[in-house]
Amino acid sequence: MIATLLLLSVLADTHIHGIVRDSATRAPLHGAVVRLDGTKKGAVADRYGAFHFYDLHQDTVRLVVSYIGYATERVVVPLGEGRKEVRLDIQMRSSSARQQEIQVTDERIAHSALPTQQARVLGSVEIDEHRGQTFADALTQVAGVTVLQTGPSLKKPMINGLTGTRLVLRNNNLVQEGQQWGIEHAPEIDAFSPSRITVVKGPAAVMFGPNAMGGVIDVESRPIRKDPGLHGEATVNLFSNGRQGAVGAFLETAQVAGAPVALRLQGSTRLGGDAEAPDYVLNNTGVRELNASLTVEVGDERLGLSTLASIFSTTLGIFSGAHIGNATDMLRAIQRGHPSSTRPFSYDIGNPRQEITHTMISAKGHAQLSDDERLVLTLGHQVNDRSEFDGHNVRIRGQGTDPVIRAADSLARLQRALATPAMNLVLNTSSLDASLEHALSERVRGTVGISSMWQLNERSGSVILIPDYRLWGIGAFAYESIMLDEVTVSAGIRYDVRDLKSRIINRATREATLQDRTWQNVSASLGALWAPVEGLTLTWNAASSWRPPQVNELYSNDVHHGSAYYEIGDSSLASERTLGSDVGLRYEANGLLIESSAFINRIGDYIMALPDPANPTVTIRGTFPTYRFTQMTARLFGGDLSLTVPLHERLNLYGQASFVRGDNLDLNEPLLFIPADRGRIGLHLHADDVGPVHDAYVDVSVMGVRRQDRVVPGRDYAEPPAGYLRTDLSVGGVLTLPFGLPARLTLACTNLFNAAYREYLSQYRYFADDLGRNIILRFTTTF
Amino acid sequence: MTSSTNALRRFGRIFLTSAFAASMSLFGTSCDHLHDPHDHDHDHDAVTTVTLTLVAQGTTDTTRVTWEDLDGIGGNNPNRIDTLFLRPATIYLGSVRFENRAKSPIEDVTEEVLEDANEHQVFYAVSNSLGQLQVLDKDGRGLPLGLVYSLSTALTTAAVPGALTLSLYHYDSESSKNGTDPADETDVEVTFPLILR
Repeated sequence: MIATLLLLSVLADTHIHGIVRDSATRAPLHGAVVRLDGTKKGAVADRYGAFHFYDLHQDTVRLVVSYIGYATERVVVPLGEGRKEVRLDIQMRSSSARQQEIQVTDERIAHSALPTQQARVLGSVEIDEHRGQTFADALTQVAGVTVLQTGPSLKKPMINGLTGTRLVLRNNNLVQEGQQWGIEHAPEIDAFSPSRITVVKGPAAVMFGPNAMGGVIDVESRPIRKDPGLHGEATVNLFSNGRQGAVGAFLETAQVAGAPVALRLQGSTRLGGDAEAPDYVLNNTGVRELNASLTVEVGDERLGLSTLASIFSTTLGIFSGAHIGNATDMLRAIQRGHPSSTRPFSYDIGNPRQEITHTMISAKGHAQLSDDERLVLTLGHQVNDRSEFDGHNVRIRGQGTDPVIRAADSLARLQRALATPAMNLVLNTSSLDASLEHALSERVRGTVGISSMWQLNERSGSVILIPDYRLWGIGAFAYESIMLDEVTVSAGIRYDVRDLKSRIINRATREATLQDRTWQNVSASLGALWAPVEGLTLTWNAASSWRPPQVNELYSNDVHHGSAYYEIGDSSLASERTLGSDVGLRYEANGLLIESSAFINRIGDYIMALPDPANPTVTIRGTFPTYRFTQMTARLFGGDLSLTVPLHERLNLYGQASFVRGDNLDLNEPLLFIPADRGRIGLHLHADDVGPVHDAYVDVSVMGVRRQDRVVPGRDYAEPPAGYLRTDLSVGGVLTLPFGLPARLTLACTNLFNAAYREYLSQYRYFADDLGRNIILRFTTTF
Repeated sequence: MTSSTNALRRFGRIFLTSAFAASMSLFGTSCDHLHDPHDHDHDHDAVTTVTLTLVAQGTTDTTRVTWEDLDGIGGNNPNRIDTLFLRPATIYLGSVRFENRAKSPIEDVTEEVLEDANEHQVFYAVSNSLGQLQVLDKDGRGLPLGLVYSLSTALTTAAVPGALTLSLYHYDSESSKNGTDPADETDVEVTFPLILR
């Protein structure tokens, strides 16, 4: 260990502060615990690895620094007479001894947020203990994050009331490019692949471009272990609801035939049947998934290349009770209150269904140009192939005069029709990003860069929700942070251009026309972080960014099944412009943790579909309410609070609450799909050793969600569902298997009391209750 | 500062080279791609046209009305919605015909409904008590089908406007049809204005 001591001039109080880093990578170790030996005083290193102690009166201070995955370090600081300021640089060595426990050995600094921003990092243990059927399930632990869902296997994350194309989702360094415009389009990410998820609440357009106006979700795999030999991990997840099983595994090595080439091969598969509400089966909600990825890394910290190839493929059933033909069917289904007919549980997936394959190749190269400069180049290509199979109108008539031949032909045509998607979208995206991370001085660090993307969407099938299009975009950005002793200030600016060329089909004439539109604009952000006393951090941010209209908002022209309205785009829409500000507070002392934030966001020219009651769409299948995309001034504000209170050495009380308000200021009415107020309160009991189990815990929590009463009366087909309470229980720990293999086991039960409830943000709430009790067994072993 | 200026210069050079190479490969793929039409001609047969034929009992007095949306869902609104003019206090014998006139030759969907009668049913609703409609035909299991019906119009002296709504349902299977409940998904739902005079 190297501890550099700098004795500075005499100040008013004795103040010891410093940074805890990894000795090899010099990355700050967020969460490292620094204790004053022989006292009850302690501090936890913040996101920058920084810690502070004030008002010390001893002659000599002994610090004990510990961090999971690192050898514990001791530092002796002679203070002597007088009051001083002491700055320490503590570098910790990764413990080469194999860890008995499966723990996060990976706490790199968040690259997806400015230091002043509201960001929450979920580590591998947190992800592991909350892993559900989709990657988004683990995110709902974060206050202010909710999911917009279409059934248990289709979940879209939402941050502070914004979702879809107003968020950026990064998957292993690439911005995930799928069909994010639809409510029933979930991100194509393997639930087993993330080992770290960073959620940035608030505009991050300066770093990630115009779509990041609402925030960023950055999903990363863990770095390949550098110690010699073959390592790996195997995970099994079993879910009673839907009788679902999922298996994931990876194998990795830091060396191939003695050459410094690190490899990881990862794969996972999932098979689930019909999910179950407390009183009935939700037919056709099964899922089948097969995923694989290969990571190859060469080089070192100074110069290296990391490449990733991955494929995600899924087949998802769409709940048959939610597939309706027109508005009359929808009202009838709502009036009935439950699905009309339920078949027994089955693993079969029939129409309607989705089949999606997402393939991704990325290469990320880095070069440490000097001590203060690091160049990063990322090249990526993604292919998102989505097919949606409709359940409607499968009435096929064969050809031929002979009845037998005709019957055979009918069957052949029927099978062909069932296998032909009503909509197929193939989205190709190439991207190239280059950034230079630099330190202008010891206290000023930042990044400048350029990012570019090119995209081609090819559509086929009878449904016209989005056209064929070609999109390219290029942006240049710079952001810098000035780190003073108690204050960090960040500022950034970015300029982007987007060009969209679409081939639009006129539904009446079937003729196609081309439209080319270009948008360009500037995003900027400014933030400050202030750490006035030990354990307390205050942040403030302000940002203005923009978002060009998305292709569905411009050109959509079809019925939205499942919501039974006809949606029409407006090709003349302008860009949205947001101006937002947030404040945050974090206080941590003696096991007490309080985190709170509040935000306000005013979005000019906010794009949303509003009903056009004067012009209903009359079709042979009935009359549909017409919704047209239009622009308005919207305002969103809200806040959240999380806290952990140590009741006892081994018992914590925790809770969180959040609220969001969204309004259309032009019409003075609430926005659609704003999460209802919610909170969670729980108890977490922890023990180091219970018999053969290490790190054992019992956790029980109750989530309460209020009824969303801020809606436009009569606008929706059904009134928002009542509020609900859901109780979840989980127990877990680490066991040692034969051959010394550690195994983390979790047994959890969500919706313990099998309560029947409906969630306002679920597309199935019109038709059926949410999931009933779900008993989950999770097992992970590392070797 | 000089080292950072050098680095910036180096960075710029590396970036420009790679950006140029990438743009060549990316933008080289021509946008002409967008001109290729690739809409499948679907085997799914949509209905474009619904025709009602009503004959007043004991006469050859025939009324025929058509509801038609040739460009299908979306696009233009229906190109033809006839008003059904009937005489009061009269019994009519009626039939319905479903066609896809967007196809050539015109496809008669009624035949398919008849062939899979056990999985289809047509429901009717007459508003403002302008008449009583009764389905006359049955499927193979003895449940109502709805391609043939009788309509007895009410006795009124003034011309009262109303409507006749017709819904065609295609059931998942025979077992989900019970003769009284509609299916979850509506295939056809059209409304004809109805006037007795």
